[in-house]
Amino acid sequence: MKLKTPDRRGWIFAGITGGAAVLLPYIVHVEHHFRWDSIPGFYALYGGLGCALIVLFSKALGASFLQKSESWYGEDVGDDR
Amino acid sequence: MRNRLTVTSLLTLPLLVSAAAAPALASATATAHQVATAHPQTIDFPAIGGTLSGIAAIPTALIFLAGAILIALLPRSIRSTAMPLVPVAALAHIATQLYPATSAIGSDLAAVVRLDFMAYQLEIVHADRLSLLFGSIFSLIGVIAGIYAWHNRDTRQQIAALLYTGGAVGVTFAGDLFTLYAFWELMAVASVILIWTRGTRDAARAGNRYILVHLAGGAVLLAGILLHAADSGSILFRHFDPFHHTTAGWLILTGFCLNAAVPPLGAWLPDAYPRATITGAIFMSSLTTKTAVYALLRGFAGWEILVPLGVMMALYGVVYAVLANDIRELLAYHIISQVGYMVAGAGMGTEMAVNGAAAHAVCHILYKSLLFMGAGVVIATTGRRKLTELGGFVHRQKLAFGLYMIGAFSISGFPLFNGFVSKSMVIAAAGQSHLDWAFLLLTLASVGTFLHTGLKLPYFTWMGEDRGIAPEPAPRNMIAGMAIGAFFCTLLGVAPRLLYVYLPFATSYAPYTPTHLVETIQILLFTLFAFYLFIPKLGGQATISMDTDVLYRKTAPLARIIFVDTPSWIFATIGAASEDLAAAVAHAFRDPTRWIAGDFGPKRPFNVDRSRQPVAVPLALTIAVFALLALASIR
Amino acid sequence: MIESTLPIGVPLLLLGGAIVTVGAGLVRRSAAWPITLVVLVLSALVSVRQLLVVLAEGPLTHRLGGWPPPIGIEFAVDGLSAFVTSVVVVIALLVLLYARDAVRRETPEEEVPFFALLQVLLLGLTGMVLTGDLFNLYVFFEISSLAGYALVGLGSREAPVSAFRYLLLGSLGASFYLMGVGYLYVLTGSLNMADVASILPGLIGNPTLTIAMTMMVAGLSLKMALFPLHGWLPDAYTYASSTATAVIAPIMTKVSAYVLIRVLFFVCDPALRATIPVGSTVAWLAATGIVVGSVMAIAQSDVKRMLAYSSVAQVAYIGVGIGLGTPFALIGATLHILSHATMKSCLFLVTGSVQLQTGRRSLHSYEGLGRVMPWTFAGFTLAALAMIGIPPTAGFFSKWYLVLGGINAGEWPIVLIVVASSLLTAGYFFRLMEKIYANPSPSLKANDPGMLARISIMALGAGVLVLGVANFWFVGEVLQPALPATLRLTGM
Repeated sequence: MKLKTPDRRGWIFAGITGGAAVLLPYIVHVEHHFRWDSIPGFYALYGGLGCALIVLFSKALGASFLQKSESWYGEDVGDDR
Repeated sequence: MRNRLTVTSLLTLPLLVSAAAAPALASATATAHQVATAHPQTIDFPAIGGTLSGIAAIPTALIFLAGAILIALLPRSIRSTAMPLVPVAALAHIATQLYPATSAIGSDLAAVVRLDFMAYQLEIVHADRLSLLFGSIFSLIGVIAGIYAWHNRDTRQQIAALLYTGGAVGVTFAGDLFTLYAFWELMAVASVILIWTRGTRDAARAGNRYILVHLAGGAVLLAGILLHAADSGSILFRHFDPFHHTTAGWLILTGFCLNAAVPPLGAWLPDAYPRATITGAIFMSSLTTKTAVYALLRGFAGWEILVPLGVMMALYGVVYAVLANDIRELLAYHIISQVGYMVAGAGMGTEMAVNGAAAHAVCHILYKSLLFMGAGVVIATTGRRKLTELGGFVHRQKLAFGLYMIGAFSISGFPLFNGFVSKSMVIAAAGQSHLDWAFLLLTLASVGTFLHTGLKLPYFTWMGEDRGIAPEPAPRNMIAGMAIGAFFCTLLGVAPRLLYVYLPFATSYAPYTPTHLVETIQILLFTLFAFYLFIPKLGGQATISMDTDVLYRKTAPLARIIFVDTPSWIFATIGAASEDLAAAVAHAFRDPTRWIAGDFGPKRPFNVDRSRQPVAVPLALTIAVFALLALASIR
Repeated sequence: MIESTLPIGVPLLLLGGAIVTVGAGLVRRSAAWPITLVVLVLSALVSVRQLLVVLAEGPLTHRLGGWPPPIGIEFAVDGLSAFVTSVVVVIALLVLLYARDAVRRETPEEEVPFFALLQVLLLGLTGMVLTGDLFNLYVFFEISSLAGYALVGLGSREAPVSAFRYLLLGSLGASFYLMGVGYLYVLTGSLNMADVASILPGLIGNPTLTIAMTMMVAGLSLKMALFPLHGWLPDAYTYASSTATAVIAPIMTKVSAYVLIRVLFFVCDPALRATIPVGSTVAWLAATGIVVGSVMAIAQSDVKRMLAYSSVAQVAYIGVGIGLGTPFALIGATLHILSHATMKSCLFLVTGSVQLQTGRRSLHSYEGLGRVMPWTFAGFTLAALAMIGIPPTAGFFSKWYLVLGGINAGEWPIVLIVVASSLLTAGYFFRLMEKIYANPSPSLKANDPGMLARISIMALGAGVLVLGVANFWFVGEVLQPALPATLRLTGM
């Protein structure tokens, strides 16, 4: 069951929930512990951008030298034989 | 298709619920602020308050050892049923004997059993809050995994699993390094059986690597222990002073870190765990690394180097998980990632950090085993293990998928599940110790964890491309095991106090605060959005990743050439050369007028019959050695 | 020292047994084994009784023919010799259980001489342990050696050649020992161990004495197969019949090692030892031997030959202990003598069983056997774990003591080698274990050997555990009281 790329309904849904999440700190009393806590939507950005960063960085690392073919170690590695 | 909306709302439901609950909580917890007052104190482990006696004095590990022997003797048909009963007995022992005994002394003192051995005093049982907590969870997971493995009739695996769990419990309750080492090695030897019994050649070699790496780690640990014993005259397992490092301390730390899979020593984990048996992997994911975490908490809390190591581990696991194609390998890298939190917590050394690390260990055992159980069900019912080959059968395996998702929510730190109440404690401890960078990076690792274990793995395994896979029905006991695990994950999530009262240090930490909930909701929601956008990029690739074990996997053939073939060739050449020399001399002297050079044969591979020296050689060697000794003595 | 006839009990039984076996065997071939069994059971009982008496009342002595030492030959038994004797006889008994079917299938024609020679071999070995006279020791030494050569020769096609090599080298070793004893006699006028021990301190510095001791050490080292004097071992073990190897491998070299310890530490005092270059030279040769033996074992594809090289490495551990000479190292060496005897006999019984079942010895032919021969490989696993040094087996404890001894002596490279060598040992054992645990191919037809053989293997495997767990008792009650005061652990 494949998830298709978001269409208009998807974007609206995302907008509503995402916006609500970003606005929550202003509705509910939250404490500011760190110096970045006061940046609006910091954690939202951190989550989204962090996710992107991890994926791109890891893929780049893999493509450059980490990923090898399945038989790189020789023998019959990687197949349940 | 309603699917998208269903899926999305399923995922966001817990978030929405907590968001709705946030204002209510705001007023209720207005008076309970997060503790961040004076500089957090470094921990002080309880002193020994008394000795255990009677049945309480029997090391719990012995129950497992006895159980293992018993299993071998029982009739085949009841072995599977009897197996989970052994850890139940162990839990009973802990609950009825050890807990009351320690409570009677006073909740922050330890109880011990001592045994005299030559010049050293052994402490074969040391029960305090920390060891009781770990001992209990190890036994509990033994029960759950035993139920999950009920359909597996391989007695060798049953015995191995019991010995392995017994070893973990033994290490936990060990009060001296000798006992610890004995059980440590038992764990290594028993767990490798769970890899070898997979039966494939691939597993055989992976098991070899696993056991050799663990023995190497054990050797380093032993060296450290002996050095420590020789230096300090005591063999008791106590906290090593973080401000006064000794060589022995470093060696023991290295030995512990190897078992905890701290990179670069941890490549054995993602190498071995995906190749273990389906039921064996549950035990393995719970035991080896967590006993190492326990050992680090007990011995090296406050050693600062563990903080950067732990944070690095947390990210390392996440990065490699992006590239993993085998579902259990992905989960294995996440073990490294989560253990990173625990290692960092140990490094921070404050009461909250140690509490957090311990709580996280408990929760991790519960949800990680659940995740591995889910992956195991997939492999068992479809015969496939790679993301590139799976997908499209969620509607035929809804129950297993649902239970897996509970584990996924837990590991991601969703409110209402146990990861939320434990991971946050470690991260909060980082904040409390003013380690902002650790806080940020550990949070980043959380993002990655949710992404892979909570979103990518289930999506590409069960949903995604429909390849027409028709899984067989999952055995009921496997589902039952998962259900029990899921139950505990949720229980601790909604009632964290149940866990907190058993932590080593008293705490008033409250995870369900508005601040925390809002943070979490923002992070998780936006990670979900990013996942959606990145789905095309996230599918598995049919590759493997090079990890630090390349150092010994690619160099083994080279080592063989250097250490084995070359000396053999040398011996063979010397033997051949001396024979030829003798022949040449004989020939030359037979006919001095024709001094023909000897004909030295070509280089030959090691062949026993060719390289066997004539008797003259060892005879000559003996006389030579004697002469050497004699000359050396008469000087 | 209490006068008793117990000390000569075991040698006499074995001597009588050998003669009766030959006699009865002439009449009926199948009588050989039962007679040997009876003799060994009786010997085991006598040796255990002897041990109990010694532990309760103190060392025993017996004078042959009533002649007092130093002219007469004395048999002197303290706790340690009684224990070693018991272990030797019990292991031989267990191997004998295995031997009934094995000998019938491997060397059917020579069944009678085989069992007779077995008893002669044990006669020589127990005599070596029990005697208190240096020349008498040589006599028993040669008795056991000759029986050993013959037993080795009764094997496969290549066996006589290996036996011949062994004979040549063994004779050289024996000659060295004899010359050493001869020089000692010239110097001291006595052949009795205790007597010589009291005379020697006055002779320290005498070059003849140094040469004499060096010769004895060289001779015994060769018999013990201490690197680099091990050239006879691999072939002898590989080509001898499985029973012969199972008896000779664990016991012969160990008794020689035991005698070396007796000579170096009980007859010589520390001052004398300082003049012989035993300490560092032997320790270093032995450390090299550990590495070389283990590495060569890894290279082998024939399992029996692999175990033979493994024996070279294991004997080298004992050599390290002897070379280091500190109290802990000595405990380690002695404990290793006992533990290795048990482990190795179990392992050779396993390879023998496999060979009888499958007809092959190569590493490859072990694939999947774990499933079809579970009892055999349960014993094998225990022995293998002990060889690697996993607690609580005896192999771990002997290494533990050796390492402690090395730390005390400050010899760090040797400590490192001993600790790291477990990995090498694991290397060759786990290669085998990986094969054993693999899925068997459907055409594999093998079963556990008969009940008797199974009992032997499991008993020896269990023995390794028992010895490990009981090692504290052994060290405290048996070994320590027997050691000279200078070598005891302090603070006990």
